[in-house]
Amino acid sequence: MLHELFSGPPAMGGRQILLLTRNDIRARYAGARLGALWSMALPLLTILVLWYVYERGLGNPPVENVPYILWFTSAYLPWIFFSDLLTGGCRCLMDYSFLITRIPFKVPLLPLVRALSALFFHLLFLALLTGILLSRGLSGKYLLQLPLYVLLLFLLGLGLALVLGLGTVCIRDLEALLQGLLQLLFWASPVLWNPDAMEGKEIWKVLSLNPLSFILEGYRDALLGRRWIWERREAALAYLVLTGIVWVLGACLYRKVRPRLADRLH
Amino acid sequence: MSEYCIEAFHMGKTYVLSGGRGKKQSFRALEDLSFRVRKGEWIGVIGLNGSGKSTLLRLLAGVSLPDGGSLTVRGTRSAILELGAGFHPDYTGWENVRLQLLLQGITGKEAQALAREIADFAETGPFMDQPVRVYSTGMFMRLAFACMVCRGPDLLLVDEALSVGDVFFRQKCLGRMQDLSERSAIVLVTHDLEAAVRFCSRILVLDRGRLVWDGDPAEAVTRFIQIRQGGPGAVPMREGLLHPAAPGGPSMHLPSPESLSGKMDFVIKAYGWETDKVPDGRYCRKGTRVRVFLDIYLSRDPEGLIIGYQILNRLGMEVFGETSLHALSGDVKEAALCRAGSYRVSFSFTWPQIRDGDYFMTLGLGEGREVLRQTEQCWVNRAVHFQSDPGGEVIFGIFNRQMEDLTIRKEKEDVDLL
Repeated sequence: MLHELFSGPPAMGGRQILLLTRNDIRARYAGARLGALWSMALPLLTILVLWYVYERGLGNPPVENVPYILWFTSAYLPWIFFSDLLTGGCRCLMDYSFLITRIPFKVPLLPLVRALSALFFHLLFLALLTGILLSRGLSGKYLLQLPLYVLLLFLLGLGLALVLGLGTVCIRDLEALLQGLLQLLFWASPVLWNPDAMEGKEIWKVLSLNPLSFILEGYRDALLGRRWIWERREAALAYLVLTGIVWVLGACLYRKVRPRLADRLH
Repeated sequence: MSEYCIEAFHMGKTYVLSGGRGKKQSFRALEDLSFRVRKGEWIGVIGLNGSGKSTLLRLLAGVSLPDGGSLTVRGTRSAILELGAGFHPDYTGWENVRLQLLLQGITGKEAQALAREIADFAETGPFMDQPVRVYSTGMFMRLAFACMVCRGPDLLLVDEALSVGDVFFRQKCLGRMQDLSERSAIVLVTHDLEAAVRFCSRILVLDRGRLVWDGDPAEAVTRFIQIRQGGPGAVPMREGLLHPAAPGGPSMHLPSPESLSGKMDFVIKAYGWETDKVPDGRYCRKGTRVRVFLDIYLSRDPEGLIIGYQILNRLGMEVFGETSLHALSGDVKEAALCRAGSYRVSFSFTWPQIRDGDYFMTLGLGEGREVLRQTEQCWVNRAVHFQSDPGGEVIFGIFNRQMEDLTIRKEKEDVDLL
């Protein structure tokens, strides 16, 4: 896989990858008048609805002195980033089949380009949220570890995107299956509910195994200033091991699928 | 660096088709292909549908990988595979062009200038801001072609690209390709035999995944026609072929086995010809009377016997011909009523005023009542070699057509104006 990326013409520099990413962002809503704005508008709408329902309607109390909506959003943003990485990665080889089946193309670039375009929107949202939190004095020095969590989430998401993208080419059912799994995972992840409230309960034994809990809680730690990452070394290590496994799986799958990839997509 | 830009050795390709319910079938699309292409060479690839032409091109383009033998392609390559060529239907013309250039590693100012050049060449003007899905087939192809040739790749692969688009654009494309040919090798996959013969110095003929001919274009066309009629190797030796020709008359020739094609229920046992009563004559000019004799054998009662001839030029292009279905005189009805048995056939035609050079006559027997729905029974391809002599006249084109009247009259107004 790496060999394909770095060998032979046409040379692909960082600049080309950025341009491809820009192209990917534009293409997402190609033909729609508001274009890429939709990528911003849709999550904002969800947040607005949830804010109205939970804070105004159900009157959820602030969590750890943070208004519920801000507490919720600080985990919801990494969640949509993660789900974007997976759904985008799942489709990426098929969306770009017009390239793969027509010209010699560096296939491993595609999940990367897709992931980068998801990262772009994620960073925009994060900047917005950080701004709000800072202006209210809710964030502090813990914010310094945020880039690390973004990177960790990006790495896992990219690895999974590679696996899913290649897998979907062989088994098209994966795409529908992923939609279902993401639903399940959403409720199994501490986005809407507070993990502290779950601790001690029977169900927590299952839920605490969710690797996303580490990342989502990490985002909250960083954004809402709760603790440093090295205070949860074991979870971080487990997460890194998992990421490694996903990447090895992706690389093996790539070696197996690549030779007939264009034929399968044709 | 090697003088070859493509080297293929015993290359093969198998497709795995999943036939539902987990059943897998494999299909051998290409088998044991070996050939080399020099830099700057023009190669044509012809063959029936399903003979593996497109698969070959996909392998050469590097899109698909061979699963047997080896394939080396040196230098940059551009491929125009089918319709599309790496275009996304929802992107606008500009976006697609920019993407194509980006993939060729061209960015910034250079890309902008080239993009404008491409739009000019493709003549897609006002449509460049529209998504390419609204383009007409011709526009699409023009844009794709323009993108692929803009940078003069070392190897250009063209699949049927020139069959869309109007005549003028075809001319423009061919002109552009000829400009490129100094440095680029071109592989042209086509159903257009004429274009293949005109432009390619070598033609590969594919038949059911195998390379059956690699070389001289005119001979390649003969092979192709033989394949279309049932395959040259597959000519069954009917008893009639072994019978000696009837004695006497003009000197008769036995057709060589390689020149024969068709189903062979009816066969041409021997043929002979005269030009202005000269047996085996070679030189023809305007008005030369060519008489052809055929000894034929019908192994069964035909459902309409058709006798025909065709004159091809040295490139294998059909110049003129005729069949007994359209003959104006003679035993036309007789031909239709022939029963099984042996016959001596004779017909004649007058040589037209055509460009000087080498011409070949193909003789044929068919079965049927319409030219386009006949079964080709026995063709003797390129049986006779003629040389046409313009008789001291200049031929303006393939043939001349006399001006039937010519008048020149002085206009009075001219004088007034002066």
